[in-house]
Amino acid sequence: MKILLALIKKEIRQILRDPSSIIIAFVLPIISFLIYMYGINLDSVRITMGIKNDDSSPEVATLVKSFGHSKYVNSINFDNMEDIETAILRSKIKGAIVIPNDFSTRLSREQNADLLVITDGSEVNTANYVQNYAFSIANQWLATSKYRGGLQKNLVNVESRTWYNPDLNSHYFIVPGSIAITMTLIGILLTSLVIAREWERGTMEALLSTKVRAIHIVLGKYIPYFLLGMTSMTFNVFLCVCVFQIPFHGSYLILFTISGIFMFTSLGIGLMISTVLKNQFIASMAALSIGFMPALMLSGLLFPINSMPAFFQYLTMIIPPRYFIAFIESEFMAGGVNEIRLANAFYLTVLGLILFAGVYRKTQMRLEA
Amino acid sequence: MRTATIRNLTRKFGNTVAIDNLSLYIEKGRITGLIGADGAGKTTLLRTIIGLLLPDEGEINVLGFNPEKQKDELNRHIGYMPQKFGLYEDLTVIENLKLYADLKGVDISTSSIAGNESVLTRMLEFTALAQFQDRLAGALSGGMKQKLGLACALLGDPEFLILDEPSVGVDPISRRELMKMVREMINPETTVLWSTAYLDEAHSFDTAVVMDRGRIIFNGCPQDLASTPQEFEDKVIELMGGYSKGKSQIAENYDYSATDIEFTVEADNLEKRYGKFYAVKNNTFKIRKGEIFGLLGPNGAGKSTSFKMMCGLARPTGGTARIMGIDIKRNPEKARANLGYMAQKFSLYGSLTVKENLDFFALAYNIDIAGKDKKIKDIIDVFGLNEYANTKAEELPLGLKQRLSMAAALIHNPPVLFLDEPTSGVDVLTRRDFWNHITSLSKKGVTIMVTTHFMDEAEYCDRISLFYKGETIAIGTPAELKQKAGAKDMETAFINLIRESGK
Repeated sequence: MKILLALIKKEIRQILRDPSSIIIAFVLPIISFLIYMYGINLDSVRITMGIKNDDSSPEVATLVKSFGHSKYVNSINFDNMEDIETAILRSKIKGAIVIPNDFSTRLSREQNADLLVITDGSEVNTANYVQNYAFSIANQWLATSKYRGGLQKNLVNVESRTWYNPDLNSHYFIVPGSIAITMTLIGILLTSLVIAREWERGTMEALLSTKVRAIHIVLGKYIPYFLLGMTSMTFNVFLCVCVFQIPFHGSYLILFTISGIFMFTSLGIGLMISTVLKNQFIASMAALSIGFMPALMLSGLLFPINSMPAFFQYLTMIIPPRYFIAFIESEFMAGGVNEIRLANAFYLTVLGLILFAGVYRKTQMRLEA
Repeated sequence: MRTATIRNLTRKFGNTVAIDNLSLYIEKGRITGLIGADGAGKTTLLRTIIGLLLPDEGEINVLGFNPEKQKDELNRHIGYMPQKFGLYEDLTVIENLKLYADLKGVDISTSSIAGNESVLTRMLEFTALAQFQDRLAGALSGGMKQKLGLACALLGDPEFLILDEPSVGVDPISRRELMKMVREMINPETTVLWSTAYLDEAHSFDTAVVMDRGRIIFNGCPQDLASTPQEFEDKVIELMGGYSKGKSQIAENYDYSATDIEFTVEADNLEKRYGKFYAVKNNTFKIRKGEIFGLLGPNGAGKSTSFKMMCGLARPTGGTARIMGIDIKRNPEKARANLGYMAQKFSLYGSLTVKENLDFFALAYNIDIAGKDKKIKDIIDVFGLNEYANTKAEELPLGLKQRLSMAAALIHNPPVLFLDEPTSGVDVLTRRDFWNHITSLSKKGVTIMVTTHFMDEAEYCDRISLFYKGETIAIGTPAELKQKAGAKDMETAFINLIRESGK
């Protein structure tokens, strides 16, 4: 116990004297919040769309008009498909709607009428918006047109109401989600260096000739960095809620409990890298590529997991930030969804324990395996 | 009584045999010195004895424990100082001591037991680090770091103290202090195993063990082998296969262009100030063409700073230096073209091979492309690096690394050579070989400025400047300095002159 305390005390001193750990824990969150608040906006406001109307009926003209009136869409009228194609290729429009010439005729006969929506698949997010806007504008028009009789028969009246985030403000989930990025950096990047550093500087060789045991070495790294991570977490939540005024609907107790579990899991990845690689430079590269990049790209923070190819969807299952981001977004915006809390906490705990066991097993008490 | 018994120990790394069927007994209560060339297997042996490495074959028993299986139990009874000392550079002196005290289960709590409280005080007193106890270990001078490392190893009164080259790169004063510390801190029952490159140190021990290529070639009382340290050195060299001083191929092949300049290197009131602290202060000297000029002084005296200023790597805050008459402050590049510099730290590219490194330096020094390949081939031949031409520099043993560094510094045939501790941590054979080249080069007319902590090497210098706290305190031939200090050998002269300077 005394040995463990001595190691923890030593590590905390090293953390406090190392400017890079303080920068990652307290300066980086401020920078990343500023970027996510003011630099990144995932809401696609006013998408420019092309419209080609082949149906000359006056009723359909109102549909074209309602595209023009929508606050989400800028519409440009086209006469032929070639022009639409060129415009999409040149990115002048993000998509197009084609109304076939039998559109009103079929509607009057209470048959299903087709509406062609062309989207630019090279920008998946935008394509989704184009599709959704087109559907909702068409449905709204249908509900107010003279064909609404057909609607009552065949279609459900679609009225969208966005829960938890009525303004559809992406900041409300991106900013809390970015906490996960900071926590990942502390958990993986900082700790990936710490055991490697002891090997490189030769202090490990001296430690191994004292009474220190493997469990002391492992806990002596986990505990101080856990404390650093949770201090930074508190600071992050404070920034989020008090400074950037992000609404919080969940429970702070549960937020911090599950954040703690996430920290434990991230530390496992970082320490595993450090224990196995024993070289600070290689370890930091590994930490960036197997820790930070997936946290950013595959966690569902910036790109929705269910729009990823199947292979990557499976891959995300072993990425801890995925579970933490799902949880923290829900805890901030909805709050109190027990299924989400339990499921994510469970996965994180399992991953964390597996990693802890791995780190313990890989910790060498000699200069060779 | 035996502290350690080693029978038929063999240890390989890949295809290299580090320890070859070695048997050794270490007597209790004695100081045993471990000597040998670089790569002879000294560090591997020490590490195997305390269980940090496992043997491939053979039996080891240390203090009644088997380090292979009972490492934890054994650890409680030993003190080990690794080559890199194992200090936390971002912790202070006292924090390092307290940490190791806790890790070794030494009670230093401020409780009522007065005897325990004094452990740290005693260590601070012995290391003379009391006034620096709140300084970060990384900010200590080389000698102080070593003392602190030793103090950490001595905590808990170990029965068996294992020191892996504790005095490498340390000045003679600090070395004497280290030795004194060990002798006074241990009790008559303590066994010490001390690996060293200094043969005068080994000569003063109870037992000397000489290793060569993983085997023991001598094990006995050093006084039986020779009565003085100098003779001991000769005997050890003989044991290691002998050194026959041949013609220096390096000097033979050196393409020296004659010059009329009388003083090829001049330092003119050189000064380096950091805030209020003077690292170097009005340093003035002139070195004649073909002279070997030694810069001697304790760690942290400002020798390396002087070197860096004189080759234009650090800007002097006052004064200047001239190389071949060219002002280093005004014309650093032109002055440097006349200079070969070998830095204290290994400063070649570890991941490049010997040949690739030389290739790079040839280009960096602007050697004409047409003659480059032949030049590199020649220099590899001359420096005896043929066998290693395609080996990565980081994989070379220390002595060969130094040889490669020197080859890189000489590739453009500079008329002036600056060597900053070229023989630090190098075994005695390699050192002899080195000095053979250095003296031969000087005979050809190359001017050489060199620093060293080996006082026997100082004798090779034509003139010596003794440096202390940033200032020259004495300058002259080795004989003059010895006379001035009233000493028989350089080491005593060094220590006396520094004491007399009264700072």
